[in-house]
Amino acid sequence: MGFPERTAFFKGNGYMKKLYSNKLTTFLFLLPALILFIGILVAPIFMSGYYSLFDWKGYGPKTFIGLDNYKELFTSENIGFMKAFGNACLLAVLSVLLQLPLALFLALLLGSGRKGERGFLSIYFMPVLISTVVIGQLWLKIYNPSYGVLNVALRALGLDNLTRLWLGDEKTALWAAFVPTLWQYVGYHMLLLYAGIKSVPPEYREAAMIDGANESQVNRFIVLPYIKPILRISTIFAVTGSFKSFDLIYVLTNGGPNHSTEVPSTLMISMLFLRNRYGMGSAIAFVLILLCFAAALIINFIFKEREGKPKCKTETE
Amino acid sequence: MQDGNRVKSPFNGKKFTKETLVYLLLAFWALINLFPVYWMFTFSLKSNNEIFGENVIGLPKEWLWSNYSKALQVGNIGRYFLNSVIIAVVTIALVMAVALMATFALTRFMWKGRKMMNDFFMLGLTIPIHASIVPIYVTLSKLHMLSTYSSLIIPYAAFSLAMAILICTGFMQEIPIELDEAACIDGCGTWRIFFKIIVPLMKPAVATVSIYTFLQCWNELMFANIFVSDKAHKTLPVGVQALSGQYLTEWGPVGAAMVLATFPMLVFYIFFSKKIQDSFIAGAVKG
Amino acid sequence: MGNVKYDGKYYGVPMTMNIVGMFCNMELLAKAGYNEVPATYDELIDCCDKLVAQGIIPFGCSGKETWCVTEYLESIIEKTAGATALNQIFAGTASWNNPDVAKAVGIFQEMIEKKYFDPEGIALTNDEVKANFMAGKYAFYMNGTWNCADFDKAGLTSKVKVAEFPVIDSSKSQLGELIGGPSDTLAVAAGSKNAKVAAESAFELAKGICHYGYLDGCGLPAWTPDYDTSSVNALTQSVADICANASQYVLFGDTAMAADTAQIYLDYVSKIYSSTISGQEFVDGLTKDIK
Repeated sequence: MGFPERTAFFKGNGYMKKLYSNKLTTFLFLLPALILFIGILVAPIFMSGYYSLFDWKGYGPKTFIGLDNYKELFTSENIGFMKAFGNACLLAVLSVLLQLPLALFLALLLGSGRKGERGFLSIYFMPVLISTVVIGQLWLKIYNPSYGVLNVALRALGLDNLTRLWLGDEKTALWAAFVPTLWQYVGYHMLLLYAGIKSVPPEYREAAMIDGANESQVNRFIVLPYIKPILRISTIFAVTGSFKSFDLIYVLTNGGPNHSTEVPSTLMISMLFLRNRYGMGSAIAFVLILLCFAAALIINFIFKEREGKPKCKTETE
Repeated sequence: MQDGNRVKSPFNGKKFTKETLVYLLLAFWALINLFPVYWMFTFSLKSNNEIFGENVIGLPKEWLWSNYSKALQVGNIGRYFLNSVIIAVVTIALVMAVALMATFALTRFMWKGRKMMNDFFMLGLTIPIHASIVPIYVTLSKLHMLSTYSSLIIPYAAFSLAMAILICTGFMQEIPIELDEAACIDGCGTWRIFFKIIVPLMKPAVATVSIYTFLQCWNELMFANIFVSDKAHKTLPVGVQALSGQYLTEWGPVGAAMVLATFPMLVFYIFFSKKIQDSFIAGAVKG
Repeated sequence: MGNVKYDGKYYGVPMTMNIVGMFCNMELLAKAGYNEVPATYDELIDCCDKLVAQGIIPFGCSGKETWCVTEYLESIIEKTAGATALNQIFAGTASWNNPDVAKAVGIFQEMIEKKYFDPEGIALTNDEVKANFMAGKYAFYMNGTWNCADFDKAGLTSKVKVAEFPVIDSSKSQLGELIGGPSDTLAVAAGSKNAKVAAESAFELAKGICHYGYLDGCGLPAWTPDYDTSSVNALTQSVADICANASQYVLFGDTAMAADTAQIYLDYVSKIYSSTISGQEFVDGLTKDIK
């Protein structure tokens, strides 16, 4: 929809032009939003950056230590940030390679006009609406070594040797924690992509069909290029969402066993509230913000490189 | 594309088998999405004996409604439910008011830096909630505001603001400027135009923003967990989490609490699924 | 009261004290031919071997809550290296680099390897492990003596006994060296107005809480009781008997250390339980990371 120049509207009505040029009124209308926005979103970023330069327990005196927190963050093994960051990257990669293709596949199946598509769509989107705590608690119970559905089912099938401690074993915990994370948001990405697919003008599709294209050819040559802007947004959400992921990991493992499922945000929370290292916690927060911005920029760049001209009506700035 | 039959594979001979396969796939994925909810509902009504062996996935043999009274009495879930509602409703009201005003200034007024200001607000879409946790926590504790409703309402409102402005901008730009002109001729000032003309016409935007904001606050865990520690102000997700810690070895009441936290939302979703989905699409696709 | 002292002044009043006790399910022990709690380390090992042979899991320990692992590990270290040595290490006056600590960790890991511990424990929380013990799944459960009240309430007093962990190296340690001590305290800010009045009322309050906590079985009195104790449950009373013979206490390691250090310590303990590091690596790592 862009941002049209308003001046054109004010032709011939001097009084209204005067009304809508009043600086004070403009400012008053913006003021509440500015206070909220600067106070809660913008200022804290700078404060996090500032705190990250100190050794601080959250109470008592702050000691200025320059970039030492960052040095320790990237080198110290007992902090384990690189491991947590690696886990987040793995989650991001899995999101892009598994979650998005699955979402796209489902969206294409539904978007090409099948009976019951709305019903399926609504079911697939449902997990997005359920609180992550509930999802996490459910999966905790699914994974429970003694009574969980997963092990019970394996035992019932006579596959006793495949039963695992799932979330308790360092070898399986990371994968077990990622499964619900990836699963919950398939429906979200699918919905976005489905909306994009539905906005493909039917004539394009029909023209291609008349030329003898089959469903997969239509998808490949008509639909995919058309929904590229949405794919870009989905990718940004999937990657930044992976870097930020907290809720499910917190509920399922809280970073354990032995930090094998630690992600940056669980690490940040344990730095802050278990180890009383506010400076270090702030450093992690600050690195996370930079990571998210960087990821968004890089993904935008990659998609721009490959994009000829935007074919979708949604905004592509 | 309303009718489901129009686009079909041209390979008519293979059509039956291929379409069957597609539907099997779709049904399988639907099952994966429905099963956890079904399981949650059934074990919320079962005793440990049933959950732990006798009857793992069937319907409860004996419907144990006492799990629900335990969740409500011991788990205090009713109170947390109310807290979540209060916080969500106030947040929505605050976000709506602030976003409508800001959008009015951004779309109607003529001033330099309008576009820059809009971009500035849109930055909010990418700022992760974690960024502000330490400063907000420290500030709230200095102001002795931890464990109050406002300690969650204000941050939630701030973090929903960017999306609200984005959605409102789309809707407000579609309100014809001629309406403002007519009001002007009648002698209205800016504030009257805003309240009499613009706000009443923004109802669809209010619905979209409300749904979006509601889901954000309803499910949020990190802030709710850290900023609120007293029982009187805890929200539903934190309450469910706490109850699971308390009833580790008895799953029924935990299941009951989870159902209580989830089902009102799902019932609402059944009736308004299109509207809810649209609010997510509006948020993402325009960003 | 040493651990509530700071700069030579008392800043807190201890309310309750708890020690780590080894709770024993006597019905299960009887199946291994033990009608009494194994009194020596060799007997304990023999008992465990017999239990394992019968398909009974000797110990349950939560790996999800690392403090539960310390209940075992610290007891074993204490009974190998001695309470004095462990106290010095926790206080930071002696190095972690102590061969006895490495040896004790080795002993603990050998017990894990010999299947003395429930392998599922690593994925369970303490409440789940405790419930398993109460349901008769484990023969032993080592944890704080605050559990006495729950065991008593569940009617387990007749079949559960509590004892201290046997001595492993008698040249360095002896019975009566316990893990625990006064823990929950009421603190008074020294700078507060009427600090003296506040301190005195906190003192009375603490004695009161301690009094009722003892009678309810939630802990032992940190103060010599001057009231009738016959209503105290049998388990708590036998804990009191153990404490009466105590020669030295070592405070729970994670309570004794500062928050940051405690987490580093707990991280290493957790790696011990999952056997990802050896005793020597434990000692080396802590020596390097705790300053």
